[in-house]
Amino acid sequence: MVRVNMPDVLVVGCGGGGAVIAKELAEAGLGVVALEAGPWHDPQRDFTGLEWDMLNPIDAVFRWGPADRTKPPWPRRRDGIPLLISTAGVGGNTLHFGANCPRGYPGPMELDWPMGYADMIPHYEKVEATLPIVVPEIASPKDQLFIHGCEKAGIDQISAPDVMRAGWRMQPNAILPIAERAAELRYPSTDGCTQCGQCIVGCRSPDYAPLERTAKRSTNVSYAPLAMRTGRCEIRTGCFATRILTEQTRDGLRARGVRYRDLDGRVFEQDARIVVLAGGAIETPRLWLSSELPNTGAVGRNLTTHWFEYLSAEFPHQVEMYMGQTAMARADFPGYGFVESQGLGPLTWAFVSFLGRSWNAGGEGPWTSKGRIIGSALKRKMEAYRRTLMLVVCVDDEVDPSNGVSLADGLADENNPAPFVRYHATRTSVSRREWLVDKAAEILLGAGAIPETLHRADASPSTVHMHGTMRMGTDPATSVLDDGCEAHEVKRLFVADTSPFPNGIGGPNPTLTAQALATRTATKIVERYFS
Amino acid sequence: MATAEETLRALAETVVPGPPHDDTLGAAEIEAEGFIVHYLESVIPGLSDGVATILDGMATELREGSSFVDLSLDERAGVLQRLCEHEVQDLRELGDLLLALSFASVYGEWSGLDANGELTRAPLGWELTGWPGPADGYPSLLRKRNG
Repeated sequence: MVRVNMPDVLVVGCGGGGAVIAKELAEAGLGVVALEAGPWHDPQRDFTGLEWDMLNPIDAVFRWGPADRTKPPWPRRRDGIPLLISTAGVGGNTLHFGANCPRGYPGPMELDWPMGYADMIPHYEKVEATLPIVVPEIASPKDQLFIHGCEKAGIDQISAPDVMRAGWRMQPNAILPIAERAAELRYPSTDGCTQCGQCIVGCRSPDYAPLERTAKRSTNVSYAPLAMRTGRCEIRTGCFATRILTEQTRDGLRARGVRYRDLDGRVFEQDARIVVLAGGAIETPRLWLSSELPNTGAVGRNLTTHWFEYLSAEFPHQVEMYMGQTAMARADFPGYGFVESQGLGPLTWAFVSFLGRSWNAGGEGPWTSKGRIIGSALKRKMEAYRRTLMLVVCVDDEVDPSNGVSLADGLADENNPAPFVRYHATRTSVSRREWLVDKAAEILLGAGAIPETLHRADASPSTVHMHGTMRMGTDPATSVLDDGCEAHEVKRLFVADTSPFPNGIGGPNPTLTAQALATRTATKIVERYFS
Repeated sequence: MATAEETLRALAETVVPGPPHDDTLGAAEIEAEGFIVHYLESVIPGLSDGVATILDGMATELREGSSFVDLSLDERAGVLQRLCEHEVQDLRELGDLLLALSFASVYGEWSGLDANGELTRAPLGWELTGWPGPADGYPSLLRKRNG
């Protein structure tokens, strides 16, 4: 293990964004320390493929809590958003993401991002080559059915990575190419994705693969090992940053380091020339607010979540949603969001589909049931699992300054006051969501679903996707960061996660955009302070 | 008076019923209360007794002198719905947790685990859904070898 005692750059959080900027800066020749609150998992040893063991919010492998699973999770307070999904650990939320890595829609990025869209393209390209991003050649049965439904619904095929018009396409996924058939379904006979369907439960495919040949390109198997390979990056796991340290200079306030706790509760201070926050759209503003840094009003505001919805329907034939990469095809609808087919294990599918907001409601749309279902009706739905196709709707939700993160009164963990997360959708967001739900129903029925079985989850908002709480902009009254992701009010303090997003990029999955932005921010750090 | 375990079994049975209420096995047959008690206690020690008291209190409101286990399945479902729609956020969240734990007791892996936490048999939920469980991969969906 490399020790970096006097780092040029200290990165807080080694997830989807932090690992990227750590690798980019270390490759640029800087000494980097990355603090990570959780552990660095070994997929072959730690990932069991069992849904409750891997994903439950209380004591799972993937949860927001200490590495010791016998200890309680870190608490959070919520308003309007019952489910806050985050994972501590190298890789962060990329440990359980579906690996769908489209670019943002150019329209909304051109409109609200201070540097526009074209400026991002070379950075997208770099991440796409590094991970790598692969468009799979073989669609699983569920995705073939989805594509058939799209065609029946009159939706064209599109191929450009820069999406300007509606259409369906195969997903650009952060997953190695699909493996060739071999005598043994294990490494090294099999190298690449085995289509096992466990992207969300924790990829360890293929069996016996060395870390860096793990098929799904979470940052724990891609960017973090690349950062380590430079010999200039140290990743300290089990280290929770509790305060950003600053000093007053002639030019104003600037960051000088971070205070953190290790697993044993020992407190350390680490100095660095540059501090990069990459704890995600909840923890980054929480750390800022806990550190009592200046707040002109925008810190913690403008949270967007893509407020998902889920539609399921039964078919007269087997669908086997659990086979193949979790999501291999998508239909983009700029101005509204997107729809995709998604395969989940039975428990995860039951959670997202039958624990919604309303209670056993009927249909005021093409669906015949909506919301929570329990009892024998639930059992009949579950018995049809293998004949069911589920579509996810992901909304281009409108930015609202009143949605976001503040500090909870009277609730704390061992680190800091707990975050209080509020999210209520605007009327525009609701109407975009309804438009997409109708489209998804049309796709399901076009694919041949049995109409009487169409079920709408009526899902509550959640933070599967989350962005916008430390937004970029030119005006310090309405933004926290400048167009290089450096804080207006605190020099040498940068952010490299999804929280700088000025909007929800039009609805597409945010990870690739966060990683492209982190890549770009690395160049800004070098230009401003090390050239 | 029913024990907390009996009350929580009645809860899980309401969410995933078995015989005589339904043709296939349900939560009561796998003694799902063991799973639910474990997780309630891990959230707050003593919570399983507290939940039983709340469910019994709501049952008495519905039918005086009744405890939760005395209610029909439909009546118990009504109690759960009232809990999940309660004006107090903590009680609503408790209702959501009880439903989620009931789902998970049957459709998760718990009923297939032995005392050491190893998966030694197919959990009930996998049998009910036909899911074969996690696989190493699906050869029919892999690329054909070149040449």
